[in-house]
Amino acid sequence: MLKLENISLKIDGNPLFSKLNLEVNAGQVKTVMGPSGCGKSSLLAHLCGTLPSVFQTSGKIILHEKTLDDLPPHERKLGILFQDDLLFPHLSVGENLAFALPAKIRRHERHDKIEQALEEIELSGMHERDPASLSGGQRARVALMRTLLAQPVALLLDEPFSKLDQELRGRFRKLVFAHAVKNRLPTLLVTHDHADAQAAGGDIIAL
Amino acid sequence: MLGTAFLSVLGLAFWSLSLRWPYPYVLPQRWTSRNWERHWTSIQETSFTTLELGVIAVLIALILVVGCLENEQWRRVSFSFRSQWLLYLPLLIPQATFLLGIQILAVRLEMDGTFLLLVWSHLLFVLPYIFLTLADPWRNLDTRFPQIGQCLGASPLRVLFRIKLPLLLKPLLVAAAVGFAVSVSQYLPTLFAGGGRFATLTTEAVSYAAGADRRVIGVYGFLQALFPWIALLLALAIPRWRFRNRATLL
Repeated sequence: MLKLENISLKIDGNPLFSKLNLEVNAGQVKTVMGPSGCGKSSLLAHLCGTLPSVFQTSGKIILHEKTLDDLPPHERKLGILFQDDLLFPHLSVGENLAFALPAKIRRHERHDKIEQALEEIELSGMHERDPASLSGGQRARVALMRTLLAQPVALLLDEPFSKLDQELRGRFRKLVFAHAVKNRLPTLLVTHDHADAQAAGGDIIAL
Repeated sequence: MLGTAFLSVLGLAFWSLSLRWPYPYVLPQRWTSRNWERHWTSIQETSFTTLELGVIAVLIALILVVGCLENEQWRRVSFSFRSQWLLYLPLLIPQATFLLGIQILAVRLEMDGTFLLLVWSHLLFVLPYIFLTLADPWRNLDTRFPQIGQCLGASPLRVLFRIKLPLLLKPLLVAAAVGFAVSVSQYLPTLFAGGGRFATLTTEAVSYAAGADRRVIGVYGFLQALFPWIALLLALAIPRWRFRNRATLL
């Protein structure tokens, strides 16, 4: 379970929002909605621990009974998807996926895992491809798979559907939520799009 | 500008290969490899010293600059105006007086004429140029890439080596080439700190320039221009080769 307790965000002393309380259970999706500039992306960055120092924050982030606030970003085990797929442009498709695999997984097993992952997103045989040579939909699927391979314990979605065209959007949404449910991940979506919020199915919190 | 520079280097190359090149001929009348053969041992030695000195100074400078820039982002502090002044000071004050001060310090520490001091004196000039070349590309790198790397569970060190450094390969190599060119061109620091014990292409070129033999000046002058040129060529070619299958980075 992902739990936010009294989260407040200020930028240069001006409050963006204050005392946000939220609980997301395993396999459940909750949506935070608001216009651009209301601090919803900053909220996710705060959860990840990557918020720039111009922001002041208070409150507590609890994930499975553990407080995250003092952990560095790479130990928080939060998976995040952004509007842009942010595949690393210097790595191949397969290398992008391999980057996310935890170090404890052995070499032989790594290879199998990546092939499996590629198959699952219908990109078998694309291991060596330049991410730039894939279509928008394919890239979005690689980004999702990369996030999942890092074995996160919660999923954060920062408007990951907004740049895809209508048809792709519906399909990709389904894929993301299906994986969230399958892996029993508490999932937090931030968006300004009503259709996305509706499709998520869970509670909607306005900021 | 570039054309003039190229022509003058070509002129040096012709001089180094000429036996007789009287006015008003456009090309030497008689060609020879004698100028190169006669100085071959010294050419090899000075070339090696130049290369060694440049490479070591550049490597140290790169490590320091990358460390500095990384620290700046990691601790979320920015360089103060005052510390930048200190960094660029060696470029701003007259070399002769500045180096005399260093020399006095070195003598006190009984370090003058050592290779270590020589590297350090080059570093004083290489470092600011490398910082100047690398700082902007480093700060302008899309911060979302390192961020997503961290969210995928990569430690800051892994993010540095697997994401930042590869993404910044081209600016890193260009900065290294600039630093190398600066090191190759150092005359006074090499002479002062080296106590005259270390001959580089530049010190040889300058000392022969005082003499009358243009053929020998041609040899050293040409090599002195060639080294930085090769470094820059490598800096441009390596990323093109490395990222030949990566459309966004070409």
